[in-house]
Amino acid sequence: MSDKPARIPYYPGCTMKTKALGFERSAMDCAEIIGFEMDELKDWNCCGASYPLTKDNLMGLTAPTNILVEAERRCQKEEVDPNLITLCVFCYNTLKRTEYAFGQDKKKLETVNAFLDRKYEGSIRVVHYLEYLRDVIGFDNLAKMIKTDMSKYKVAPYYGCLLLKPQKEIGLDDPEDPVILHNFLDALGCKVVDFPAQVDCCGSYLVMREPKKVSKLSYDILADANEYGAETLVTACPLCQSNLDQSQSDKVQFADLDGMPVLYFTQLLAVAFGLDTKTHKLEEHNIDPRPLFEANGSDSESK
Amino acid sequence: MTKCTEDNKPIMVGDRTIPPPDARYITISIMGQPYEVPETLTILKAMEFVGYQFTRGCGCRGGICGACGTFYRIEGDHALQTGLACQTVVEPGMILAQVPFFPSNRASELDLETKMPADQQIATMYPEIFRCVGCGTCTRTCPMDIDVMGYIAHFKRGDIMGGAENSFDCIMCGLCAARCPANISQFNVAMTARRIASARLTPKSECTAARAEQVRSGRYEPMLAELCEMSKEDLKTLYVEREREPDLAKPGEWMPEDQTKL
Amino acid sequence: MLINPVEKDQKRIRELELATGETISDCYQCGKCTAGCPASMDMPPSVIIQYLKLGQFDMAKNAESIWSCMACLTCSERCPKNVSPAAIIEGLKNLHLRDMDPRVNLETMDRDFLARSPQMAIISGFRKFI
Repeated sequence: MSDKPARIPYYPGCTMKTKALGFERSAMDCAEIIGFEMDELKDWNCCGASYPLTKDNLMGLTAPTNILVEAERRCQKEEVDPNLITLCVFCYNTLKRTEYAFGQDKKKLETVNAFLDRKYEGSIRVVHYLEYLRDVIGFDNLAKMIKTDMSKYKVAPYYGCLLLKPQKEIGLDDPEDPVILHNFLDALGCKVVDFPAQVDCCGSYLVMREPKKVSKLSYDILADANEYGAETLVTACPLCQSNLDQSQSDKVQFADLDGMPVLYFTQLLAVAFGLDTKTHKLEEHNIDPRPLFEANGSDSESK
Repeated sequence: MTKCTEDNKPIMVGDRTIPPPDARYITISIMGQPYEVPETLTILKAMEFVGYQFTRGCGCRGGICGACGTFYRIEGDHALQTGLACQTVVEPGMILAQVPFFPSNRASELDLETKMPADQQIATMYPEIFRCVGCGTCTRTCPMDIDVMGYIAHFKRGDIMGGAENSFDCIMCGLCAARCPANISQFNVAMTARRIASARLTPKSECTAARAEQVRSGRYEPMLAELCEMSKEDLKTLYVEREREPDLAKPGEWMPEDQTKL
Repeated sequence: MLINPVEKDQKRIRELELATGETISDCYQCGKCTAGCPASMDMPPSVIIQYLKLGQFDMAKNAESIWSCMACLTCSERCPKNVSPAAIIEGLKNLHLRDMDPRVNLETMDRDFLARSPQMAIISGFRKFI
């Protein structure tokens, strides 16, 4: 690890600045410990939170392209590696699929450039924070930085959909049988609760029109994790966190399930590092995770 | 058609337009008709030169009121252009079809007393901002060079103050809303955000509030009454002989000799 | 039910394929997409595609089920013929949306939802429903 922390251009996304602020704060606090800095892009716009599934829709690429142009300009100016790190899985998926599309189809890139009157050259590589931990830091090295005894925590890794699919374009891990979050939790020293519903969809944007369906899908995931012995879930997606956490207020659907806290993986990492979690918005969770931290130990004294 | 004298010099029929003697004339199209106008005129003046009278879509004539937002094309060029009619000079082949204003969406009620966070207020009043596709057409359209897409992006991510500040130069011409494929009336969202920012997000000036309270308490009434009683000569003397804080005095360092009125 | 592929419908299916980049005739109805779909559709993905294969365009286009797709991409990942039912369904939804036939009304939607939801839910929802 060099003396100066590596500064990586960072794209937050709209949700990260409001409803998922705790995710960002915990991620940045942990990055400081690990030895890198997430350097937010100066001018950025919403990514659109939606990669167009039909080939004829280029309008859905305009927003991600603006972001990639900004990142490219920044990396060229500062002469750093053209990486863009993300936390929000929707942003990661949208930007990564755009990167892939432009890599495959130069004509598409030219068309979007002409429309936007910009010159994106296609150099940016979109990276997820978890990917950075796995490929650059290494989970073995991460394990050496852990300060808290996490062995009492029974944590289920919940992957959701957009972190992994489509595999050909995202290429992070196997969508049917992923291990990246498992290995992350292993590095922390938690008991990893493998459960079948870990790649099932939470309902995503359907919460806008069919909240009951989302409630049911969330219940199926949480009940499954509970059955396999989990006391909490970790996720990387603010929409998954919102659906799984908020739907637990549906007392009819969740009649037989006690509240199970749903954490962002960096919020748990912060606990593992023995950091002060006051600014990580734990109090804004619907199911409060703090009693769990009290019970299982959350500071470096416990190691 | 332009009225001409017998020796084919165009007669000015418009308002206050005096073209230079050697001004060249160019052909432009206004509302589907060709006209010869001096090339030095703005769109507004050119239309008035040929006899149009503006009762709408015209205001300060100084580029700051936003009334004369204009779409135009240049013959032979596929691109649609925008500008302010009072600021944009005519070009050969310009095609004009003036629109007095563009119908926009404005949320009906703004509650400045609410406790609802500002970002939620904007989200509930103008949910269409979440339809923005980031195409940037608005930014390219804006005659004031504002990054319109940029300030909408600020609002989407809850930064109402940032968006309010970045929209400051807006003159409410409405050209951005006219072209937005997501049907956002950006300038109305920005105006609402600026009002919310001033009323709710900007720190209140405590010294102003304190002074206002002093005024309300009647502290200055006796002094005003005294001044009203004085003769003109005494007032003049009082004014000329008044104590003045030196221009470069450091704040808080200078005090007048007569401190009874402070 | 009389199966009667109409020429007009064949043309619309062809246009759908061009718009989505999918080849509907590749599907051999194995049913893996339906088996993996979490949306509890009345007309599941493989059935939508079968209607299209049989030339019954309006049955597919007007199915309410297409609005329950949550773009989880399980169907696309598992299809042994690399067909993406999710893309076909989005193509059908786009036909409605581009014809000013949305499923969410900005004016009447729940204000509380707008205030308390993470922006990504609102933004992606609008992309799919308006």
